[in-house]
Amino acid sequence: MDRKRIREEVIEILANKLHKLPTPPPSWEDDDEEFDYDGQVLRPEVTDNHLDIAEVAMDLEDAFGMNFEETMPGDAGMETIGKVVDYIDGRLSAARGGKTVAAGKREDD
Amino acid sequence: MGHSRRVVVTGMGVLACNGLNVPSFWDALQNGRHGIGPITHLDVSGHDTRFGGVVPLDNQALTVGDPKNVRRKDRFVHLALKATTEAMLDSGLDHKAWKDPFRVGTVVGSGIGGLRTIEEEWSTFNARGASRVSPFLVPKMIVDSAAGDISIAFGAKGPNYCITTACATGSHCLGAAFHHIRHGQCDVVITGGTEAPITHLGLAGFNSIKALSKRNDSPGTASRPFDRDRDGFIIAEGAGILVIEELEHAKARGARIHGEIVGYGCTGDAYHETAPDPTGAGGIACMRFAIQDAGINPDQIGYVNAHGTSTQLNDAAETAIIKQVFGAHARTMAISSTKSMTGHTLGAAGGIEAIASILALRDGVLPPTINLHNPDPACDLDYVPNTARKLQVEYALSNNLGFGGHNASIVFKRFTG
Repeated sequence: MDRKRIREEVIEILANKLHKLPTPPPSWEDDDEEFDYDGQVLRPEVTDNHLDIAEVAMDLEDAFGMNFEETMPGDAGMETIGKVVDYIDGRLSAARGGKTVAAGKREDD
Repeated sequence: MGHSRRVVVTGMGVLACNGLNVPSFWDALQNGRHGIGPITHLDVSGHDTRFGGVVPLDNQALTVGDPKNVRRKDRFVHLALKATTEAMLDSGLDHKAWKDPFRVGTVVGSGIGGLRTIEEEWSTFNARGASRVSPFLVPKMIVDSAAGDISIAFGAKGPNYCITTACATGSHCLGAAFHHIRHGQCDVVITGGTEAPITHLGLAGFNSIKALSKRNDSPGTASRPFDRDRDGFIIAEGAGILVIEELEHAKARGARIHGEIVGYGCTGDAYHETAPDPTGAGGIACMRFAIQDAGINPDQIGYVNAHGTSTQLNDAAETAIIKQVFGAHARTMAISSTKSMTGHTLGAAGGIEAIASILALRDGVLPPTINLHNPDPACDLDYVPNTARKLQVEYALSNNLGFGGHNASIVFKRFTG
């Protein structure tokens, strides 16, 4: 799964549950996104409810077949949606390549 | 009794299987229209009872505000929030401009709470393990969450809690709310009950104690309180929410006043988990305390909205205790069970039936007991059979009695200024 597809899926999962996040565009082929998803800080910009974060974290784990373990979305290293995408992308890439990735780091950092 | 602070009803909101707001609900009651039918939102093929009183709105349609709230609340909370929204609108109160939010209370209960949520998450636990249980499980299922969510939605910072006394829940909540205003702690209280019990465990549990009617071939005639052929109550969902207010507070803002609450009694049977005390001592004392609290004589009560569940035990026992409390007057006053049309909404019943009682006093129409065609010799009073009756009465009494021996009675008065 490439980063573009990961990003789309992360945003769809988050937008499905989080009040303050607008519904994503019907077609991701449209490059004219009016909303800066990647720059959104998970707390408090997107939600002020830690239960929301816990729930979407579970959804992301299910979707991408991983456990966040100690570091959860919203924590240091995964403050923004873009950094969550980076983290998941890094974990998936590392799994393919046998490397580990810490939150806030890309596999290629 | 000389209480200086009088308590009036200025807002009402209801969701029942036979009415999605107060006007449609009241029209149904006056016309003897029930809302009981087959259960279709669950596969009930394995249950002995396959019908009930379902509110014909899904959770998405019930959700107030952001549609994403649908997954955050159990159905019993959605029902409560929607009914409260109607009640607040009816009251004319602006919840964004409370003069003192600490004098606005919320006393709203449920008999069971989020049973559907518990079932769903237990399934998740079994299928996928503890780590997949939703973080919303606890806040969704806990029985006090309706009161909490209402207070959050409407900025009510005064006394806030739920009372859980099975089928007497709504009446106990109303009684406690009444006292908060009468005794000076609050000027306004949002109160009542809510319930969403039509789930697999709800059906299985009530069936296993032989409480539910099994008249699957004729759901509409199954709720037949006081009828010889009654065979159990009809499980139902709904919410009945009232905005009650101190009289001078209501008058000062020119509020429309639907009726007055004047008395409250509550007792315990101290007898059995589910069966009523055959002596009726707890129920008799409960009604007497409520009437005494109202400062009136029993023969001033013109209408009793009975608990009237349509079970063999309840209806005969309630008739007997009414005779004990009212003596000869029991044969001259009117009694009816609106559960014949709503089914038994358990913790919501006290709220819904308070609304029915107040509307009866306000409009001079006594709702009927439908499906009463073959009177039981043990139930030989005037139950307003099958057809509503135009009759102006001054005082009404609402009874609700819960498993565990919880008894609650409320006395309402037609508001005359």
